[in-house]
Amino acid sequence: MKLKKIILYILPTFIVLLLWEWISRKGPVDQVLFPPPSEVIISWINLVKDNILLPDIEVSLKRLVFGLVIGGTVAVISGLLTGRIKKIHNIITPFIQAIRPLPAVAIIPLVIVWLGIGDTAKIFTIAFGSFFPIWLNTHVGAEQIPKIFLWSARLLKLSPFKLFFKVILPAALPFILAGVRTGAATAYAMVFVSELAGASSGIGYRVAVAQSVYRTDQMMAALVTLGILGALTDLLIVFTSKKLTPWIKHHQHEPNYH
Amino acid sequence: MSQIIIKNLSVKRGESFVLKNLNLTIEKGEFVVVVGKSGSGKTTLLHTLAGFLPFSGDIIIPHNLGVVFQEYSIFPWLTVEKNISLGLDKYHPKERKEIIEEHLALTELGHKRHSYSAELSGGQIQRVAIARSLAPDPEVLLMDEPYSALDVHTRDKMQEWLLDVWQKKQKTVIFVTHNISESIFLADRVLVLDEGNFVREFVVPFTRPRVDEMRFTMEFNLLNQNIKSFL
Repeated sequence: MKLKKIILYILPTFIVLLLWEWISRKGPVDQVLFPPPSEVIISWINLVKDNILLPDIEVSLKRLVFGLVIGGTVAVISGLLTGRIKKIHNIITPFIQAIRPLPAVAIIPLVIVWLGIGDTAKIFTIAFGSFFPIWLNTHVGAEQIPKIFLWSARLLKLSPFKLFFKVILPAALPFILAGVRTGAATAYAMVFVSELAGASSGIGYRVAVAQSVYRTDQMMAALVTLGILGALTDLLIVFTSKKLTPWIKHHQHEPNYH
Repeated sequence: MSQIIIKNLSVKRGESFVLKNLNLTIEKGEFVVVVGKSGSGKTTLLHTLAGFLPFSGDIIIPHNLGVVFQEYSIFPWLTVEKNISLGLDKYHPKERKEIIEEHLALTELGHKRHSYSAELSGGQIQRVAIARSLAPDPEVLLMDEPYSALDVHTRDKMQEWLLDVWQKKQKTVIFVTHNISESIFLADRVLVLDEGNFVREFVVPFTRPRVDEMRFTMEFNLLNQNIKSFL
């Protein structure tokens, strides 16, 4: 049964890889433009062997983590404040909403002028990009807390500290975590874009370098790496979310029989 | 001695009155049930007494209140035990532990003390909600149709359980419902609320402890019909 599950999980990817290999080798497309997965894997191994890819991954992940943590922290704090305190909501929310529709990548030229092309600029860009989805989710999560929970807290005479940590934060937590998941995906996009220009390391930089010498195999190897890292990060967030919200029955849609 | 005194209580929603010039006196330890149709002002009355809504008139009621809501109000992210212990900060840890154990025993859910509400049935959730409200030792318990989401069988069991708890705790209870049979089974006095005012009061003649068979007696059904005629 478990083996069947694993096969069903892997099979679609395997079929896609086989198709890709076949199209690349026998199809009408030039192999140089569309290298088969077997060559991409060899390129990937060579990039690792030559000590090129792993330092790139390290640099990109560091930028991602710093950016996401900074952007996420500011987003969660401000989202809780705008979601719960009307006065702060009236002051801050219009300002955030005015900037939110702006594509996050659009600020990169301005950030380069302000902060140069160093890590600070990249981390700022990533933090900026991840801020909005996390803020929006946190804001909605804090705003939607049912009145009866807040009334119950009042009747139980909870201290402001307990009210925050035992009622407001856990009530908003599933929303915050959903925001972090979306924010992390945005952060990956921002890491990549910010490294494409004005960088000397990172996965985005590696793709740009490979593109300049028409090494599509290396470009694909770097892109696949980025994709796998993104998927692993998402898995990590989902796993952490389940640990942090044990009261939510994940993937159980059947009624409660008692 | 009267514990709750309500004089000329009015509550407005927009331009119209939900409660108008309402008067009521309740004795300590009394079990009063307010019945009324949907929209008669039952929930508004309870929320006003709990201090959630603005009003005009006078309300004399102890500050130490417990409220059980119609919607499930126990915190889903806390276990049964943590829900009950939440309002017990004023007690010494040893005393707190005793209170938790006492109220866990009341709920008859000792074996589910580490369960979340998603793992409980509707009846169990409301038992925890009642125990959580009683744990900080309130003087008055306000109950807003707490059994409206339960099936008939569970509802009957929960009524008997509530009366048992009430006998043990001796709290003053104001219970709101649209179910006449429930009101007679539980109450010392049944008050009929219609369009924001009490239109009739019935003193329930049945002795306590009340038993399930009582619901099938002629007297019970006559009272049921009588109250129904005022709704």
